[in-house]
Amino acid sequence: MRKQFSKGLFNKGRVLNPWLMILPAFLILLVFNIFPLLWSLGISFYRFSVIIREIPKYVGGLNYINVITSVEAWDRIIRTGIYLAYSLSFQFGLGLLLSLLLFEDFKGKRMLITLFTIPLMIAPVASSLFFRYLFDENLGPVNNFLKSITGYGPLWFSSDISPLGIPYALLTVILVETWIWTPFVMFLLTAGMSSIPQDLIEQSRVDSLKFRHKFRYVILPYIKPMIALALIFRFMDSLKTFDSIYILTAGGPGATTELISVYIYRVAFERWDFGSATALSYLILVIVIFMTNVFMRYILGGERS
Amino acid sequence: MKRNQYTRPLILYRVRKLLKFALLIAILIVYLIPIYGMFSLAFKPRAEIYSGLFELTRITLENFEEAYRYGAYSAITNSIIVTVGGVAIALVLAILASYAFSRFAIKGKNILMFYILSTRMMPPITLIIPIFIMFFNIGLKGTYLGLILVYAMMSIPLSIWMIKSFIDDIPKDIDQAALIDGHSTMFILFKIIIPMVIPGIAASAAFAAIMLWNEFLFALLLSGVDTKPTSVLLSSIRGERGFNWGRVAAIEVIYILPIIVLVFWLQKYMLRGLTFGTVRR
Repeated sequence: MRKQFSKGLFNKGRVLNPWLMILPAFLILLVFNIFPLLWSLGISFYRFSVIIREIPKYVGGLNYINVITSVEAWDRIIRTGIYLAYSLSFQFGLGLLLSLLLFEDFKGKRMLITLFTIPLMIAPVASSLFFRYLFDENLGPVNNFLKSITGYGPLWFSSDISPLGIPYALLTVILVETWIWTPFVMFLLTAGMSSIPQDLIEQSRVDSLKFRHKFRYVILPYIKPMIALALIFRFMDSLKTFDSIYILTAGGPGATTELISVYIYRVAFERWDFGSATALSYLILVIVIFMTNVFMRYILGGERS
Repeated sequence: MKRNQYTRPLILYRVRKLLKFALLIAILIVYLIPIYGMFSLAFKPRAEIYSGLFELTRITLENFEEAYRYGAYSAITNSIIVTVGGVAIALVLAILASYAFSRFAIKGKNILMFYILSTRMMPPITLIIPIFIMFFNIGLKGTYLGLILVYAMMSIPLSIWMIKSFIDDIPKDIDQAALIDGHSTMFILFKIIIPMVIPGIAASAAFAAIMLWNEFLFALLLSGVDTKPTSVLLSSIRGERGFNWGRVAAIEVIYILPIIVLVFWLQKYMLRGLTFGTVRR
């Protein structure tokens, strides 16, 4: 393995040090990922504002204390929690329903699944912008349709409270996010279900198991890892939700739909308070790293068995 | 009597299956209405924009002409430049790295792979502030190069994990045999391994390309007036009052059509693409 005859990369017997192959990719990550990450940690200890052109001033943990004691930040975190609860339960409910409907094989199943994944792959910017047209309060097709049936069309982008107990604007964001991400959940669960051994399915059919029991004892054990995987992916991506909110409501009206990532964006690029923004984003990062650990343990555990 | 006993559940079973299928199709139709709506709106004359989604009396291309006048096509060109640039850099570097990760015993490999995976989890908002300051100071803000480099950084992790998962599927004996024949590492990689995983590499590139094509936050902050990709153009329309929805739909259609075409080709690799290559089938 160690012999090296000559210097050319393609020369016979030239065994390359694996580190040399990793290095170029790693350099890019170093410059544009690790370095900014550390820099951002540094910024979070400074009072750093671009707009007033003062020299960044070291303030210790003041930014963190400000963020943790700020009513505004907590309000956004609670909003994000509400958003997570609603959107994840919608996505998993609908995703599970769809994957159960897709449980049995039929002709064209693959095609159907592919059609379902289109919303997932197209740009959230494009779909969100189109949903703004669909949900337009006066002339949009959705309200046209609702008015023709019930005679009443809700104001989809207002802060009025919807029957579900959250403002309509937040509900609209959740609906759009559900539209985008349900296929993801459906896809992973379908993949989990296709790993159920065929004889187990046949056995359950011969025994004519009730659906409830079939789900509990045949399906659930096989899709559990996939549910965990989907949940972790969805949790982390939901924390990052930015595109659709920015397009749909830009955080408004007021701060109704200002979730944590939009809030950080606003603090950084509208108030130009980089110190607080990086401090807050680091707090979020800690949560995410914690979740990644759980996720990694799951992946490695799966590979070992 | 006996016959009935056995045939009735079968009929019931069939009816149930048919009902399930009907429900599934119904959900799918509702689900794809927005996509259909985008296309129908893009071809509608301006006067009929609010006339309902399904009525399409006259097909016109005037929305696409207006999109052209609005600068949509130069935005698409910008999108293509930054996407292709980012994917090209990421792909070359990721192929090398993923081969090393797949075939060599490297100290700290798990930690490195874990770090690379964790970049997928990082909120981009954490990175954007330092990158913004950095690009602002060295003059990369508003250039293609800046966005391409950031995009390369974004797509390297996905590409490494995905391509590694494909290379892992190839038996190591093949490398060993070539090594015994005295071939160099680069020869084995480029002449033996890569030809075997070309479909996988293409799929990885496609997933990376879709991610970059759809990217918004970095593009919003790092692109300039002349270099803004389509996502930023679409978002800037948002702020205008009383804008023409037909034109918006036309831009959206041009923007999402390549993705829809790719999705059909990618269905085989979808599971790997969605889970970062961590789940294989």
